[in-house]
Amino acid sequence: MWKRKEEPPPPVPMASSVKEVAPPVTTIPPEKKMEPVMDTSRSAVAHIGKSVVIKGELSGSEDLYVDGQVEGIIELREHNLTVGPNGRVQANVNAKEVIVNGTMKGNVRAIDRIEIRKSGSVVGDLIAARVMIEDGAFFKGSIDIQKGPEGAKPAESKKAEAPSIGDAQRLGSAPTEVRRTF
Amino acid sequence: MVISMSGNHGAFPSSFGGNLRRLFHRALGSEQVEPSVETITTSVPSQRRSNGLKEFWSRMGQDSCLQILDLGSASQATMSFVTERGHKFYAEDLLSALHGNADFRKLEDESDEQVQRFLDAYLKYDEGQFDGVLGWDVLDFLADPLVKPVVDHLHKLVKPGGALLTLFHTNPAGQSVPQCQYRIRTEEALEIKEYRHGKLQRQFHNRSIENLFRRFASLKFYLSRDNLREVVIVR
Repeated sequence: MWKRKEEPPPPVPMASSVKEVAPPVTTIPPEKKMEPVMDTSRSAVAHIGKSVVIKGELSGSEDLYVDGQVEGIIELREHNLTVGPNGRVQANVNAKEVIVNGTMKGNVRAIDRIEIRKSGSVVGDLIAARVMIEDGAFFKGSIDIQKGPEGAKPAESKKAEAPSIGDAQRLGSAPTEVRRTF
Repeated sequence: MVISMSGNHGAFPSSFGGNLRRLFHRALGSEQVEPSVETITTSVPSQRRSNGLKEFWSRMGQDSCLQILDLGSASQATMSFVTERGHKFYAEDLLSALHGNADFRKLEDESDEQVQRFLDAYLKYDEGQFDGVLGWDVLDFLADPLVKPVVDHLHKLVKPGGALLTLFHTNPAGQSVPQCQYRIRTEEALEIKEYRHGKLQRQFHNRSIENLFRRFASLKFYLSRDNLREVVIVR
């Protein structure tokens, strides 16, 4: 009798069921997991919205997404610039990577690459290690491929460095940039 | 023989051959001007061997740091081909410029101030700046008053010894033909992608081409099977 009374409290099965439920419990709060991801992406990329107009010099140490209008200079150095489909940039740009979905007028210098997407339009002189032009994109200007980090440095500093043989051939008679007014 | 029609001449059976269909339309006095079978009408890129392109690059030699101007629609393939050789690539899409500005399509004569505006807007470069110019078939679509000024201006922009590659359609003037993006795949192979149609402004013959480029040092003609004549012109 006494033994039977001891049986009813079933903490063991409860404990075991908790163990079985435990794995789904860990997957239950996906929202909590998503939030930090959203937060980090927001903090990593600065957004300029459709209705925003900025005139002047923009500089920063984080990636920038422009879907509005920017006129002047954009200095991002080690960070990326993305021009959204509604973005209109009329500026000289210095960045690590530039992706254009909208309209851009100005000279662009990128350490890594410049990508003009299908809906993108670029008028200006480009200097980068790699340039990509998608089918349907519009480009008017010049493209100078410069491999290595010297692509983003000012022209004066190039002469002081010791570039590789391949780069030396290019830089040795590097064409003078033709500045055109648009 | 009586041919009964229900009033719709366009309802000719599609299974009939092209020649029979043309004969049929001609008999009914409703001959249609169809694009030549050999014109490039596919929207899928097609490959084409180009002796003119081969000659153009052989003239460029093995030098790097050349300056190459592309007057057609800029493509990844051409840009990569040029820059991988260590050259600097310039793009001026003259046909898109014309397409987007009606003023440049309705010019009266060469003295029109719009001609100078066109040159200032799209060909403002230093004299003797370019080693090579990829002109493609742009001249076929330019308005008459623009053709000579553009060619004379190119004469200024190309270095002595530099080369210009041009293509001329052999189709009659006024015919609508595809405007294509010419992509360089190899030194002697082009990929051609149609992106819109345009009306040929005139038909150039060999003599008219020679006259147009008489200030240049030499011209080399290459005939091909697809209604395109290739000409390499040396400054």
